[in-house]
Amino acid sequence: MILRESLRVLLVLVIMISIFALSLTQGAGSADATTLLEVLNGFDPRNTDHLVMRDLRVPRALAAMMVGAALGVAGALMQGVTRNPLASPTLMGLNAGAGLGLACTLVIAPGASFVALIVSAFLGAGIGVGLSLGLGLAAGGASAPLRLALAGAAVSALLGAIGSGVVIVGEIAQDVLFFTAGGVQGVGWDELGLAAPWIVIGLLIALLSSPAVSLLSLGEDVAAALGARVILTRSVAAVATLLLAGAAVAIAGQVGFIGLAAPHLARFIVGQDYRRIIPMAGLIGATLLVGADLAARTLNPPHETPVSLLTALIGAPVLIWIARRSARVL
Amino acid sequence: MTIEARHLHFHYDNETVLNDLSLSIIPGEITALVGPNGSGKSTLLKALSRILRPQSGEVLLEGKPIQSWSARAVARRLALLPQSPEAPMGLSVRDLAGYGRHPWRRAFQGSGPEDRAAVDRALGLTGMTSFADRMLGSLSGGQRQRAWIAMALSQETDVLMLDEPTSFLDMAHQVELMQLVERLNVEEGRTIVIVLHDLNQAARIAHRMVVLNQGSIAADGKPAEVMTAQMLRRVFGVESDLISDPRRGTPLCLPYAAYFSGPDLEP
Ligand SMILES: Nc1ncnc2c1ncn2[C@@H]1O[C@H](COP(=O)(O)OP(=O)(O)OP(=O)(O)O)[C@@H](O)[C@H]1O
Ligand SMILES: [Mg+2]
Repeated sequence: MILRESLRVLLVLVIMISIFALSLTQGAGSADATTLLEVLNGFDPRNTDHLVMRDLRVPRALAAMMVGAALGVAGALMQGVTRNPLASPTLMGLNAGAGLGLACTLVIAPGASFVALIVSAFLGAGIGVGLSLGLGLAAGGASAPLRLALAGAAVSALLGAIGSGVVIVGEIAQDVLFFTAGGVQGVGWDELGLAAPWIVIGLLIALLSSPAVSLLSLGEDVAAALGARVILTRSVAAVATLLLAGAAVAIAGQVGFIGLAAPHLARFIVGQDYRRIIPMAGLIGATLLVGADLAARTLNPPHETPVSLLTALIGAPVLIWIARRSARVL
Repeated sequence: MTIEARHLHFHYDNETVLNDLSLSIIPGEITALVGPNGSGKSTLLKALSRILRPQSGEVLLEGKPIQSWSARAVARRLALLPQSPEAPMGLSVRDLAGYGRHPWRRAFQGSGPEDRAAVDRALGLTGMTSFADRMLGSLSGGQRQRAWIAMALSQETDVLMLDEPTSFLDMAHQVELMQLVERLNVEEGRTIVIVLHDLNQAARIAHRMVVLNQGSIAADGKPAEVMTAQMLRRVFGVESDLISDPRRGTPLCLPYAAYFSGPDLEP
């Protein structure tokens, strides 16, 4: 049992590293594995392939990895804390809030830089989560997870509707396409530098709180009886979720399904303990998004296939397969 | 380990659940908490174990306000099994029982030999050893309940609080659990507070019966003093005959009719 589990973990690591390597060496242009080795040996600023590698491929692959990990971990945190197997960062008003923040900025300041857009999306995500938490937890009490899920759905619908209104009235549908289609195209070192610290902090908080999240998954009374600090854990997890999913949605737009599917895949591999689900969901999320991004670039060159479409195409069958294999586990 | 509740008052929105309730649990005793549905038994257990904070009054653990203890320090002394806990269905019985070791471990520490021994012992005591690797979702309600009891036992605390631990158990397992409770009390000197709906079972194993009614203590004492026809009528609304348990001499009640309060029925 233990051996099989470590084999599976190893397998995921191998897949992740191979896909990451593929993602650096495949794609438009002539940069390939040789280029990668050359760059590692000594970067030559006059070589276009070197420039493609350093300024396009590497930041893009890193961004896909970080965003995927962030979404996977955020989904695992949410599922653990709310004990709702369908919880994912898409709910909780995060994406809708980010979309609204973005749309408002595009209408008010049409020429806003990518960095300004990232910041406004992140702020919007924060407002969305804040509203969901505020409404969901206002009354307190036992059924908090359910109320939270309902509040999140309501806030998502409301902010989403307002966002669509702003998009239509402001006639910016074309400009927000990159957000709705999702993906890490166009993410360079600057954008990555802006989002990465938050994601790293979020990942660290998530890892540190994973033992407490594990306890919370037994229900708050049992968790409290075993010595968990329920309210503290909830709040810390909420902050980590906001940092992770907020930063992810800010640089990659709406990338669906990873936050939902990665934790379930992780559970399938490492069992029910969030001390292991959380890091594994990060690994799997990263693998999925790097893979989806690779596919987005290589399926139909020179056009980019929307990543959100691909993550759904990868995520949905996987999820259905798991659900069928172990209906009782969900 | 002394636990003392002083003038507890607890209410949800506008419903008073505990009303100026004072109670001190006597170390080394089995205290049975009984009362009709909604009388506040579960709420009282949660207040006694620091899970709920009463709006006024206080609980003292070893003479110190329980809120001044950390949750973990309380969990090393006192285990509470809530009334209807729910865990992820994919959790194995052994993993669930292993969670009882949490208060004794540091956050990222794996389980050591002591932990494994405690879990094995708890599984053995609850007759769950042969189910250890089964998932909760594949168990019957009673087996699941025993897995939860194993979790509380693996916590290895002086005080054990069980909220209706027999509700899903068949007759044999109910009797077995009652025997286990008595054994833990007699052989290991553990203090036990147990909520039971079967008054006869409660009378049989408890040193002391506390009857709760509408958030207050309606009767408190040895089972023989507490189990009276009058108390059963007043608190539970039943007319009953009382006989003596042929084996132990504890009172047995045999309810025969619901009690309607009317002028001509008043005693
Ligand atoms: N989360 C809650 N919100 C509002 N009211 C609640 C809540 N939990 C319990 N109550 C109310 O508090 C009262 C006492 O509940 P409690 O669970 O303590 O009763 P109990 O004696 O354990 O009953 P039972 O025998 O049915 O388990 C009940 O009237 C119940 O309706
Ligand atoms: Mg109860």
